[in-house]
Amino acid sequence: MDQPLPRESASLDPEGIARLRRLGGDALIAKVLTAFLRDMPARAAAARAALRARDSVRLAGALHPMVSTAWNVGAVELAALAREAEHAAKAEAWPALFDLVGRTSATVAAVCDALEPLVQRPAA
Amino acid sequence: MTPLALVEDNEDNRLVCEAILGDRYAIAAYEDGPAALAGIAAAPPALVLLDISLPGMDGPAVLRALRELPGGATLPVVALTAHAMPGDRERYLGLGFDAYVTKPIVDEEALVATIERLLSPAR
Repeated sequence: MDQPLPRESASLDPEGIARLRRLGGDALIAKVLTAFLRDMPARAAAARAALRARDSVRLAGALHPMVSTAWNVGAVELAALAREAEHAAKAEAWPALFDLVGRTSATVAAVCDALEPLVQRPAA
Repeated sequence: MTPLALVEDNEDNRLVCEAILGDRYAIAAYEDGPAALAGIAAAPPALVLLDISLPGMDGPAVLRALRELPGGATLPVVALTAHAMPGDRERYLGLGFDAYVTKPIVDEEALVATIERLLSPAR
């Protein structure tokens, strides 16, 4: 069973949501955020499971799609963390990965908390 | 509108790409390689945007299969990838992709310019 995760800053760039609004209005925001909230916690859980199994290929595969998905909603810190963790997974840098995957998972949780209200009521 | 195929397993990336390009092109979106190959064989597009890191059959494998389809040898195929490592561009072009665009798609105009260049009869 996973350990409780520390809380991290959501660190959202408002330009992410503003860009989605410019491209497709509130309908696009709702669709993209719904996909984010559905997929990202599962990817973070998959990354933690792969880390426990020391499976670097599966770990990099779980982290890889998190980069652009995070960037699409303005979660720039999460995108940077996921990219750093993916590179560490490819290098099988296990000591660093325990920290990076933990921080990535915690940041996913924080970003989900910050975005969830916007699915119901896209904000400016 | 000019028909394009988009092969991308991440729903959010598909949504953003369709939002960027949907006013200019008729997009047929596919989640994986086998679905894309079947759809493209049935309704050939003018250009394909192909994610590299697809689950199962990856982008380079889909590209090889595309090249075997009727008309596939000359079909413009753009690699979409979040891999941004030194040498990636040359590697993917060497595999037979016609162009290479990195994700996330930060520069929407550059994406459109790449597509228009490949669709140009003068290329």
